Amino acid sequence: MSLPGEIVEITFRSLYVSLSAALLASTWSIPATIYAVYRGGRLSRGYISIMNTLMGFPTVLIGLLLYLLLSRSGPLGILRLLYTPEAMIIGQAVLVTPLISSMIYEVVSKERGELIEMAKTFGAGGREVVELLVEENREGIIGSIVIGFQRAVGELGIALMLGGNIAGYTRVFTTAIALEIHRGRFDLAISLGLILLLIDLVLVAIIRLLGWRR
Amino acid sequence: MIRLVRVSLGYNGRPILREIDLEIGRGITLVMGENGSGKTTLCKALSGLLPPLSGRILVRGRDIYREDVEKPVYIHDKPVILRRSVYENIAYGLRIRGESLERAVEIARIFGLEDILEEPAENLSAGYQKLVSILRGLAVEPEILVLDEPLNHLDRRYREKLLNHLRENYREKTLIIASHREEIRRIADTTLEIIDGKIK
Repeated sequence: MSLPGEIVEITFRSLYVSLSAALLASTWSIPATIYAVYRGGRLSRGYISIMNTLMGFPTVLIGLLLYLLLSRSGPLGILRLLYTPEAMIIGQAVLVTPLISSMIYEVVSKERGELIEMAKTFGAGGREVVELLVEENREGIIGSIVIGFQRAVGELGIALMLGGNIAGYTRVFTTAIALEIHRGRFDLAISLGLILLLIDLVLVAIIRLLGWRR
Repeated sequence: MIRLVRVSLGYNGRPILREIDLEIGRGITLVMGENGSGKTTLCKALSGLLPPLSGRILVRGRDIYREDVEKPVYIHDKPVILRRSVYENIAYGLRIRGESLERAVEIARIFGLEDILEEPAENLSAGYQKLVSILRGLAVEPEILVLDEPLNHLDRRYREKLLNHLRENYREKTLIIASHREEIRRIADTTLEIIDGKIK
């Protein structure tokens, strides 16, 4: 690995893959979770129970299932996604979906009862109530996506299984760190680890700036 | 205006109020009762927010849970404040209903809040938040308004102002107030009391 060119490249690829994954996960997590909160009752409780359970799903198992789906002989093999950044994005999106959903649920459901009733009493329809819930919890929702990104960027198993750690193509922080440790280049591994930590710290600062309260 | 036919109300199948037959007409109706007696439950049910366990709730002869009918506006005991300006909070109902937002400024002026309209409502004291919450309801001038403990958190000056405003403006409409405060009796045309799950 040549410094600093490859480190910069890995940094940008890691940000691209994990940010895309967090945003992709939020495209279904936000509407599904807000809808579950809006509907309330059994649907809502069932939804959050499933999400909380899936949070504990082993990363390596998600990687394996997606590997089987995306491999040449798998049902989605025709898409030729295995060992591409896109496969890593899909894998990480699946991984962070329960986390983002649970966090959004926690944020939005806090005062949902009164807020929904208030909107309904003035004649707000489903779409308007959902819009209100999103708008009133914007910072919390953004914070949830950021935490999803943090989880994705620090993940190794899926990145390795679906990306393959191909230099200049699918190598990201975690796979590069693992590789450098195998090679005995601990100084480089530590440098990459510190950059990863720095990104985490910046994100925590962003969340604090947004005034998000868990 | 509002009619309850053998209505039982409660949560998770457990009734708090049982087999109520009641008619509420124009004017100001005060619903009294001790804490936990079911005042809020009754108010929410009348406003279309809590379906009855049994029976029917009719507004102008139409079932509010089965037919498309304009429901009463319900204002919570606990202030519901949006993370927006005071003006946006008061105007919320008007905006949803597609009505002129001028009324938000008018009602704020009546209660002396015109100078804080641009302030973030979440920074206000509990008393002002309560007032803003109530003004959101008053701004839309509903035919039927349901206020749940409207005087809580308000100081004496605003309690007086609110009671006077309600007395002057809701004689020809239907106003239902749930409260345990005796001072509301002076503006009420009718007083109902909830005792042991029944309305007397």
